[in-house]
Order: sequence, then structure tokens, then C-alpha cells
Amino acid sequence: MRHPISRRTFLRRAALIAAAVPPAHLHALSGHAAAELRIGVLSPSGASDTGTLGTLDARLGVRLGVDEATHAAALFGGSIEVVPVTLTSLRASRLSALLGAGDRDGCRSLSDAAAAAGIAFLNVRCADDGLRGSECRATTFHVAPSDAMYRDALAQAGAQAGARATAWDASLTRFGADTLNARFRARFNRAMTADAWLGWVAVKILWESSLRAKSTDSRMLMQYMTRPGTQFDGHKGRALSFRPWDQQLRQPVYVVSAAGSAPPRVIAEAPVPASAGETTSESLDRLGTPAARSACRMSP
Amino acid sequence: MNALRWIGLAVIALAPSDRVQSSALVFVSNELSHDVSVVSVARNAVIATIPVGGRARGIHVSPDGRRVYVAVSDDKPQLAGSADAIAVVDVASRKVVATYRIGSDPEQFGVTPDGKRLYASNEDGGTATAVDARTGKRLATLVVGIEPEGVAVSPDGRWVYVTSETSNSVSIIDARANKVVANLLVDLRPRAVAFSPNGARAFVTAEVGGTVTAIDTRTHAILMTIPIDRGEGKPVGVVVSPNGKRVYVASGRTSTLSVVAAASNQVLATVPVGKRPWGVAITRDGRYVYTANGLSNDLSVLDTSTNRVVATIRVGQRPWGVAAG
Repeated sequence: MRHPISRRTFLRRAALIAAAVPPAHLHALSGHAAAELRIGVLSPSGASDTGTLGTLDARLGVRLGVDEATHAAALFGGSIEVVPVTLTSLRASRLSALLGAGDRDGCRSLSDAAAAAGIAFLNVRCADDGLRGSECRATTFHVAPSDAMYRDALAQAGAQAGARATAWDASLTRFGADTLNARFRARFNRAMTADAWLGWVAVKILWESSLRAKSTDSRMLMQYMTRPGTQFDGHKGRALSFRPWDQQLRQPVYVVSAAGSAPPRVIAEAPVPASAGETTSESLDRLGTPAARSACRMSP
Repeated sequence: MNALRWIGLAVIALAPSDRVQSSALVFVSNELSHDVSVVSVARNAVIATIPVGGRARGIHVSPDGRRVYVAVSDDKPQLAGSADAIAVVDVASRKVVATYRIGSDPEQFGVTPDGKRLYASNEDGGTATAVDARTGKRLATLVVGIEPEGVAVSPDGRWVYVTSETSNSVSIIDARANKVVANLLVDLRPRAVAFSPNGARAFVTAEVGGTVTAIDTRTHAILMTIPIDRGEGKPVGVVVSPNGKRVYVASGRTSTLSVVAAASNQVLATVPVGKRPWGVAITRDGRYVYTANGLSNDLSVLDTSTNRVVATIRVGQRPWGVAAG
């Protein structure tokens, strides 16, 4: 007799965390315990729905990320809150960062508003190259892969017409993808799509940055995210990092076969792993716009 | 299963009081063939295969050498299945004599030096469980990081270190109080942890970070982060030599074994082994290091005096862990 561990385990874990007496941290982040990581999500109506994340999957990805940030906070101190905001309330909302998706124009207005308010904006959906090019902002971080990265991935995989490139797939198993996919499915009873992964990893990048930078201040988080040597893990098996020239998250991209007689499946991962003498970042830079061709001039 | 457990205890009670001759044996857990290969150190050959009834991963020999503990689960992670348990193998009879339930999908665990307790990581629960090694009774459940994986008990039995892959953290459990007393952030995707024989240091591998973090166990402070293969290695399994001078690190995806000098934290050699080495173990005399190579279905044997692979032994299907008796 098998049974999903989902709800029972989640509730048990939540109860354990709630009951956990804050450990006598020998290395707790002193002064950090009271700090709150405040993640803004645009809600045009002002209601608490997280509308501008675009899809339900993205919202659930964010929710899993927040659950895990809460678990981490039980160990290291601090707390996390998702704050519904409007474009005009950004500055007053004391945000650590803004998360957002939407169409190209939506992303551009979020990017501009965050730049004006001086807070980090994490783009979790828009692939538009222009946002990373001439319209780039020093406060904008592209967690979602760019169109250029998707195009390169398809070309490098020699994919047939119809195949598509994606940031994530629910069938991935290697490098801990299986446990993450299972965790998402157990929690929400649905597959972890690319939108969900992007929401999850954006929140993970933020809480991990806040723990390592020992701050929830947006400027400190941005400083940490752009510091040379800063890397993140997103269960893709390779260290992720932001490119200094356009703040695009370096990451592997998966190529999925076209829907046909057989169900779609992951047929390739691009780029191929680093060769001898090459760093992970160098190899991942085989996807997307290189520094030499970037139109981004990083003005806030 | 109770009957089996009592039979197991009886076998142990009747065994001669001197140490069972397991010092010359190495035990390999096989994920796909659901068994444990028993390897003779002297002959470099498999001398027995013990079925354990499920996907075998974490493996340890009890301090007295009489038992082998094996984490067994079914082939579907994240679902509590009937196979999920720690199987207890009696070395003399080469039979499973007991099974302990320790939560879903057991993977890695540690055994206290007195052999009385097991500490296991529960990947999906974000917890670690302390279990009585004789009765299988749960003693405590502790909140650790997210997706806990590697577990090791310090040689004096005082501390239990648990690595957590998603939160990139190490939780330090005071085994006397069964309480988490500290949490440390380490490099990306920490997989395994090993203590030096004198207990002064703990070494944590970070697979995606490509490093090994050395921790001072007295202060629970990070001493140094050692890049493996210039940070491009994929360190997983780790073991420290009995004299404390060498740290051996298996890099799964680069199919190599790195030899690190514990005093200088320098990588002395990087030795090609079989495909996707995961677990690593060293004989009690420190002469040989073994890597369980998941994709080539074999065990590489490294002579520590020359840092060369001197034998490759075919074992079961998809070997995962290895333990020296």
C-alpha cells in the first residue's frame, strides 16, 4: 500500500518548525533575527492575489519558495513575507525585492518602476532580448532565460522544427530535479512547470542572498547577487550566476520534443557541460548574448 | 519482523566475543540489483551477495564489525513505500536479521561509536531521526535544513552533522541532548560529511559548489573551503584516512577520486576511477580506498601509498555506497 506523503508530511514539518525552539546558534546571523525579507508582487487591484506573476504555476512556485524560506528562517532567523504592491507604492513598501512577470511591456514597466524606486526587480517570465539589451536596468535581474538563450539551445541541440526550449520540465530527474519535482507535486498535486520553477528559484535566490549577505536591504542583496563568485543552485546540476553585463541568470536550458504521436519529452540539455579547462560560467555563456554583443549599458 | 529481529539478536549473542572477521571485508550497496556485494580485501573479489529487498543506498558497518546497516527504499522516491527501512545484515550469517522503519525514502545515516543509535536524514521531511539501533525505536525527530542528505557521527559520539542540499546548510546535533545546536551555511548542494579520526575536523562536500568545506568541530566554525578541480569538480562521497592525513573525495560526474592533504588543504592528486563514483570508503589500516562506481557497476581499489587504482571489481547493478569493515 503506497500513499503520497504530501499533505501529512507538509503539516508535520510545519508543526515541527513551529515548535522548534530557535537553536542556540553559535553562528546565527546576529541582528538578522528580526529582519524580514519583503518580496513585492504587483497587484493592480490592491487585492492580495498575486496577479502579475502571470500564471497559477508561477504563484505556486513562489509559494513553495516562501515555504522553504520559512523553514530556513527557523534555522537561521529572520522571516519572509510576500507583499502585494502597486507600481506607485513600491518606494513606500520597504521591499527587499520585486518579483514579476507579464508581457514585454508589463515587464518593462515593472523594471522601470523598480529602477526608479531603487529596488531589485527579478524578472521570472519575460524572455525579451530588448529588456536585457538597450532597455536593461542595473536593478533588474533576469531569472527567466532570454529568447537568445532559447534560440541557442535549440540550435545547439540540433532540434527539429516544433521542438521547444524551456527553463524546466516536470520530467527532469538528475541533480536533485527529481526531489524538487516530487516536492512540488506532493505540495500542490500538479507538475512543476517552467513558470513554477522560475518563481521558486527567484525566491530561493533572494532568501539565500539575504542569509549570505546578512541583510534584507535591497541594495545589499543586489550587491551580493552581482558580486564576482556569487553562485546559486537551482537543482540543475550546474552553478547559476548573474552575468555582469546584463544581469541575466546563467543556466542550462532543456529542449523538449514537439507534441506528436509520442508525448513530449526532454531530448537535450544545452549547453553541453564545461570541457576541461573551462569554467561553468564560461560554458553557460555559450547560451545567449555575449558581453561583446550586448547592447546593455547599465544605467539605473 | 519482530521474530527475525530476535533471531538476529540470538545470532549475535551466540557469536564469539572477539571481533568477527569483517576487517578484511568491504560491503557495497547496489541500487538497482537491490543487494549488497561482500568483497574480500585480500582477494579483490566479490565473495557473497546479500539480497536486501529494495533499492540499497547508505551503508555502514557497526563499530564491532558484526552488523552492516543498509538504507533500503523502493524505486519511487518521495513516496512512503513498504520497502523503506534500514536493513540490518548479520555479517556472520550474511542475512538480513532486522529492519527498522525510519521514515520515507531513507538514503544516508550515521551510527554512533557505541553502536547504540542511528541518525538518519529524511529528505522529504526536512528532518533527521534518531533511532535505537537495537530496537529500531525512534528516539527523536529534529528539524534540520531543506532536503537533508549526508549524515556523520563524530568519533566521540558527541556530534551529528547533517547536510541539507536545498538550503546549502549543515545542521549540528548535540547527540547527548538530541538537539540542533547550530546551523552553518556551506557551499552549494552539500552531499556528504566525514569526520577526521580525532574528531577535530569535519569535511563537507558540495557537489554544485565544487568544493570541500573544512569545519572546526570544537567551535563549529568554517575553517576553509577547498576547491576540487579548481571548483569544477563534483564532489560527493568523502572519507578521511585513519591517520587523519588524507581526505579522499569522490567526484561523481567527473569520475575521479581527489586526494586532499588534510594539513594544507591542498589537492595532491586527482585519480580517474570508474564511472560516477558516489560512495567512498577506506580500510581500517588505511592501505586501500574504494569507490562505488554507479554507472560502470564496479568498485575501484586505490592503493593509498601510490595513489593508483590497483584493481577494479565488478559488483552489483548501480553501486551506490561502500563501507569497510
